[in-house]
Amino acid sequence: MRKILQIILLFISVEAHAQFSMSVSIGVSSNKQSDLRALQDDNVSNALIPVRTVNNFEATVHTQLALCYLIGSKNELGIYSVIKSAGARSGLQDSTGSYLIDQKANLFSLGFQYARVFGTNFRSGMRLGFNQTTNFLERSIEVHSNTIFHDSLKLKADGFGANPFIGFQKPLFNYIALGIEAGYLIDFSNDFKVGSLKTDIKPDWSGYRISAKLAYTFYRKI
Amino acid sequence: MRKIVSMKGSKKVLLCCFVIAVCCHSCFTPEDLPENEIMPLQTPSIDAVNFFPSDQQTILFGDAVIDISMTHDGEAYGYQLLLNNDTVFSGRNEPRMAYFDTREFEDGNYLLELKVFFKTNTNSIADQLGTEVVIYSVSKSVKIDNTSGISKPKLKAFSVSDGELYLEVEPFSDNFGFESWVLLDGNQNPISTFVVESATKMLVPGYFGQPIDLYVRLNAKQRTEVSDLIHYKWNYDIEMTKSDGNIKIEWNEPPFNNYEIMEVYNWSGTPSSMQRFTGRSNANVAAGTQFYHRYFITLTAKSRSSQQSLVGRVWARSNAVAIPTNQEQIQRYTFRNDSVLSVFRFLVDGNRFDYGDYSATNYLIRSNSFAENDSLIELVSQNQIAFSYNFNKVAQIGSGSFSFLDTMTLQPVSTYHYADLISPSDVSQLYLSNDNTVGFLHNQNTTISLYDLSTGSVVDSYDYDCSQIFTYGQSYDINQAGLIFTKAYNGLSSKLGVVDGRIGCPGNTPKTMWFDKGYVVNLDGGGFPYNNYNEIAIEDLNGTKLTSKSIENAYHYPGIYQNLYFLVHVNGYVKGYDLSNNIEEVFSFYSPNLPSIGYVQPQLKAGRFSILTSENQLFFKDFD
Repeated sequence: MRKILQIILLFISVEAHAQFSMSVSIGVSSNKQSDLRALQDDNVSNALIPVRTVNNFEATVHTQLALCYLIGSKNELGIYSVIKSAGARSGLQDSTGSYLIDQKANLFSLGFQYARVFGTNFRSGMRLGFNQTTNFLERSIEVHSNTIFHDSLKLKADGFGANPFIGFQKPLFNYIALGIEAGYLIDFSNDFKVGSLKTDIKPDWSGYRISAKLAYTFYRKI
Repeated sequence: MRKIVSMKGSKKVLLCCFVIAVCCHSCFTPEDLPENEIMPLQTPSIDAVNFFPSDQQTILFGDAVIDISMTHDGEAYGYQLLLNNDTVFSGRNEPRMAYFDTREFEDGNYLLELKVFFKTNTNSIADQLGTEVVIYSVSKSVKIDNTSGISKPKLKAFSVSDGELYLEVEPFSDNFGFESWVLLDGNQNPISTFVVESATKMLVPGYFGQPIDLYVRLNAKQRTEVSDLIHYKWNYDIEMTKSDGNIKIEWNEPPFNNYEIMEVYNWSGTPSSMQRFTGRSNANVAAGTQFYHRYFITLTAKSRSSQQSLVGRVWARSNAVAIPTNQEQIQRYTFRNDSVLSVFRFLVDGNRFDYGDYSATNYLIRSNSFAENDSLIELVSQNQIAFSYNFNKVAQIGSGSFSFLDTMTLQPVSTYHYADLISPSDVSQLYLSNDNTVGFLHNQNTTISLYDLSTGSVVDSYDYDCSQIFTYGQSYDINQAGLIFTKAYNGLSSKLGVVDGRIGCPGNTPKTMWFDKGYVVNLDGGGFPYNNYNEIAIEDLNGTKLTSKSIENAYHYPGIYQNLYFLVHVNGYVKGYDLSNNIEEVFSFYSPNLPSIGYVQPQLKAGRFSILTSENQLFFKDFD
């Protein structure tokens, strides 16, 4: 009840020392993406010529923006957004042409986060948000600068994600803090759709994440 | 009002961080493609090539056989035989002989060229894809003569039926190779076209006793020969009317002045004499209350002047006797094994046998394709170009179907038009059905309606936006009739209904095809997103799987021909499966340069499989 009251007080701005923080986290995260990897492998195995895979949804950059509000000194509540991209590439090229099998998947996540602050620098929490994934598939064969084959397909999927995390944050100056954060994303996305038609594969961004964090803290006066 | 602490500088820092972050995320840039190592070109050496013996420079009418022999040390990718740059043969395996039909070409001198496509063995991508080859070419001049030794056919006998003139032609086996007869009227305008081959009978529809001059023109594909003028001037001007239970037969200008006897038969199963006349006057026939469908008038006459017996027959149909309106569109026939039937599409013993040509309305069925015993043929009715045939003996009209029980010479007797049931202006495209319905695609291309032909009423309809449905020719093919049309994208399909027409929007590829009455053959399995289907299944119309067979990954664009189902596989092979025999694979061959995915439409008609390759080459393979 007390926390609820605090939240209410937050939104009507009656607390004397409201503390906000904006943060940017950039790191690396792994992806399960078992369906999309299998799809890439399948395309490779069915290629007209032997091709090689140079990337198949390997770990990629993970970018996160958050706006949080510290309630008292222990509880932090806020909103966050995650932007992430991964993909796969297989093919072959030489002076006579190229054979390309590509996938590029983008994740946009938006949701709420809660963290509990331990001491002054450690925190642990959970993010829950809405996930939207787009995946663009492309295959092309080019011989002597002539495209003899090309096709593409755009897939979309929605879902939810849960992201438990722990972090360490150290103030450097008055308002600036640096930190690191680690977590695990659990993806509950639905199957991809092509237009309104449902497919039988789905994205799976589940995986570990570690990132560096830059936070700016400011106060709000009564 | 509260005020936030000024943080202009910090805002810029955060904004920069945000931009950097967005850039980082949006720049997923995989590594460059792996480099392929190219080997030096290895030019094959040709030791000997011989094709078409040098002492034979003239190719006579018919199928030309070209002997080919060669030795080389290269890895040949394909072979091509050209006649004045027109491909007459192509294949992947080294041919010992090549065939082509001289009728494809006019008489004259040609350059016959043999091309051998060798792999460059450089292991380059172009080499592996077969788009970069070393071509060896050898050519020689030849002459094609389609004319020598061809004799004109002769007409031997005539007979007439109501509304149709029926001609018999002397066997012309020595003329085999012509593809069609064309009957011309006195002004040389075509009246009827008839597929020749082994046919010896021709039909002139729309003949009602008027004097007519006929020519016969034989059409080879590039050659035309007109036979002698046939003066056909029989003039049976007969009217039949019904009143008070009697059929009155009249002729305004009796052609029987020299004949003494006329017999009139009714026609109900077995011809039986209703009345026999002697003399030349008009006659009243006591028909009672029976509504016989047809009357059969036989003139057994003696010429007073020559004392020679002549026999003629006239089919006539009383205007007063209506064709039963409740007749079903499936009509049953029996036929003699050595007869020839011209139909549009029909079933044999309940199984779909074949379809006629959509545009020509004529189709030749070789009866020797059937078993020796008489077969039951169900002729399915069609649209305004539909027609039906029966034989000399009509058994009965009952329970909505005709039965023809005898096995006499085939003779067309009637033409039925169902188009008046449906306004033709409502439709832009017609698809046939396998039972009493027919699917029409409306002009707006947004609705498909199924019509019951017996009543003309719409029995079902679907909204289906295919405004560009005819962009791709392969989207519909009446000879492929029998598909379930699907609303599909790359194998993600939903069945809308069953018609015997193939309907697919651009980019939508039907994977379900009508196989037989009540059954479909369906591609199943991992059909996403590139249609790598791995199972063929025969299902009923409720989707219940009856039989299935695992296959290697297959693309879309299947085809079906009788019980033969063929597919293009991802590895470039075209494979055929016998649907009547546990979906067993019955043939498999490699089709060079098959596009991996693309708008390619394989077809199998009249025993010839054809497919358009990625290089716009028509690859074909014949089957027995």
